[in-house]
Order: sequence, then structure tokens, then C-alpha cells
Amino acid sequence: MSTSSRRALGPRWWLMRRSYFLVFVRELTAIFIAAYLVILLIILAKLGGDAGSYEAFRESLTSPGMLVFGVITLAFTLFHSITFISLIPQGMAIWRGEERVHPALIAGPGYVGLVAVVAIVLVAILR
Amino acid sequence: MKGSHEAFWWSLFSAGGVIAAMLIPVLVFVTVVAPGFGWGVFVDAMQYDRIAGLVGHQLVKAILFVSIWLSFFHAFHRIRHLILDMHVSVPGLPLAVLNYALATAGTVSAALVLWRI
Repeated sequence: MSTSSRRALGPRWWLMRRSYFLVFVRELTAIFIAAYLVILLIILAKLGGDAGSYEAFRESLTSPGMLVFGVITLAFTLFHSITFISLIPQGMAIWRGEERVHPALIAGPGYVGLVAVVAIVLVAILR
Repeated sequence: MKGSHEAFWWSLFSAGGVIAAMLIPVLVFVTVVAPGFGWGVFVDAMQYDRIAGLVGHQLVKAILFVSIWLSFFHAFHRIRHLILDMHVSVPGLPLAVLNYALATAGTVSAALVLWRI
């Protein structure tokens, strides 16, 4: 669904079809990414200060409200990961001679990259 | 000229989208979700000394800076288009300026906080 067709259908385009609603949810993921980046910046800012200030902020992150926010944000950001990697073949068609490379062969390395990055981050943090 | 501007923002959007797809979920998990559930190994891992030692490494700082920069531009580019898609009555140019200014502010903030670690 293109940007122009979304704007031609009116403000309730996202309620017209299930597939349109999923496009809308995909766009909403940006709000959760931006909100988490602000939290990450605060964590980094506290790290640059004293240990007490960092630990106090870390404690505030364990409140029930932040946990709910974290779980919802995790769901939206995972939705972003899956939809963005799945759409890479649409934005990047690769041709081998006259034959178009199968989309799975382009999206596949994206998922391998996702697993590799997750593993690297977990090893770096937990070692 | 307008088309070339849009191509520039879309290229930042795409690069940031890939980085956010790879990195943000696992960061949300280790910094908010797992400690929030009280899972000991992650609570211990997020202690000041351990995280300050990890993030203090120049390579980690560089990775975090590039990731935050591109992810901010990805998010605010998409938020700009979300607002337009929802038919919110707002002039296009100020909306674009506001969104990219917020992304730039986030990027500058990232540089400053990483510099201080």
C-alpha cells in the first residue's frame, strides 16, 4: 500500500482492511522506537554521572509502569524487526542475469544478522 | 531538488530501519524488560561498574552513536509520514523541519552523553 493511496483513502484508511491496519501498526512502531531511544539516552547520561544517580534511575526502570511500557515496546519493536527485514527484498531487487533472486535469499541474511546481533549483545552484556 | 531531498531522508530512514530492527528489541529486553521481571543475571549485568566498563570502550561508543543517530532519523521520518497519513492538518514543511530537528537533537544528545562516559 503506497503513501499516496493511504492519503487518497481518507483518515480512516487503516480501519478498511486488516492489511491496512498492519501497515498502520508498522508505522506506530516508530513512536515506540523514539520513546525507547530517549530512555536509552537517559541511561547513558546517568552512566556519565555518578553511580548513585545511575542506580536510582535503574531502580525506577523496574517499576510496574515501566515494565508494562517495556513489554509493549518490545512487542512493537519486534514487529518492526520482522516487517522491516521481510520488506527488504521489495526495496532491493537483485538480479542474477535475467533471473530475479528469490526474496527469501535476500531477507534470509537479514534474519541471520538479527540473530547474530542479539547473540553478540547478550554475550557482551552477560559475560 | 525536492526529490533529491526526499531520497536523502529515505536513505537515512532505510539505514536506521535496518539498525533499529537488529538492535533495539534486544536493548529493550536487557535494559527494561528482563531487569523489570527481576531476572537476576540481567539485574547483575546492568550494575554501574559492569555497564560503565562496557560502554566506556571506544568501539561500543561508536556503535551506539551510529545506531542512535540512524534510529532517530528512521523513527522521526516515519512519524512525519504517519502524521500525514492520518490526515492531521499541518503544513508539510514545518512538520518536516520539526521532525528532523528532533532527530538531530537526539543525535547531538547522544554525542554529548557518550562523550561524558
